[in-house]
Amino acid sequence: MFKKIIIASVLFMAIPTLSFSEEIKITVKGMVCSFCAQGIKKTFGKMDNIKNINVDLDKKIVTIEIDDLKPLSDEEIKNIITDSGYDVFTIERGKNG
Amino acid sequence: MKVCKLFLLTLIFIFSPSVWANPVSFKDGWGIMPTYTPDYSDLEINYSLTNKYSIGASAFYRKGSDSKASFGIAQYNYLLKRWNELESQANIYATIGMGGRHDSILDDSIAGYLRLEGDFETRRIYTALNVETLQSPGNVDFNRIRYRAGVAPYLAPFNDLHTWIIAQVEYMPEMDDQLTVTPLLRFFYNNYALEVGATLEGEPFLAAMAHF
Repeated sequence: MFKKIIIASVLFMAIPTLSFSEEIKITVKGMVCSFCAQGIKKTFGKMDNIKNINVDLDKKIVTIEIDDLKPLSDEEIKNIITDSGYDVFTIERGKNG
Repeated sequence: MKVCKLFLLTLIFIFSPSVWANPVSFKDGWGIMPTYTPDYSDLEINYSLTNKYSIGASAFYRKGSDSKASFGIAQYNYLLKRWNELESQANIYATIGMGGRHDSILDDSIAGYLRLEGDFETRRIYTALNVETLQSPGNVDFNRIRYRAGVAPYLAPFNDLHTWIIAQVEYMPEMDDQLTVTPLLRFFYNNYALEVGATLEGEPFLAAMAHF
């Protein structure tokens, strides 16, 4: 019984620290220059639900990791990419633990 | 020297036209672009209200064959057309500006500025064409056609140093040296860029750019 209480307490304390995130891979048209693509990084970087940003110029993919509790819609992503001067080709979503 | 000039001109005409100093960047983005040569200097600052247009100010210094003149211009830059493809990007920009002129011989006066520029680039090649005119009373006018082509000798990841080898040809009919050919190196690192070169006559060329 005592053991169960300990385990339950530990789990209870751990719940607030558990966080889930979503990884989104955005294939971007026109992203051929590192200097010009800084705008994408800057715009996503200003958002408080973005945990991580990675830009792969070879594959033309921007990978963002976002807080699952504050989702980002495809429309919002398209607007950010367009405001940065580019076009979205595809958006792929995946879950992270 | 003649062979070298011919080689550089050939290089430039092999690549299709294209400009590096984009006057419109990303929404809420600032761009600062100083350029220095012994005969002319430019300083351009732009703020992009959207990804389509920006407002800004420029200062130009021109040492012509007849006089020296400085211009201060408030300007509006507009992205006329952009082609975003998976492996390339091409742009056409237009700039219109008004301001003042200070001349070494004539009185101070108003001045106008017009520019049309286009660029095309992939991760490997870069080409740019820039045509501009500064006009003011008393025939104190300065025109420039700048044509550029470049190659990236290696492809670097996003956060690393990027290097370009560029050949630049400028035609400025009001200057002592009307036609100049400038081989230069361009470096990108994060949101900073630097260009260092020299004309075939040995005159230095320096340019920088920062986006933030």
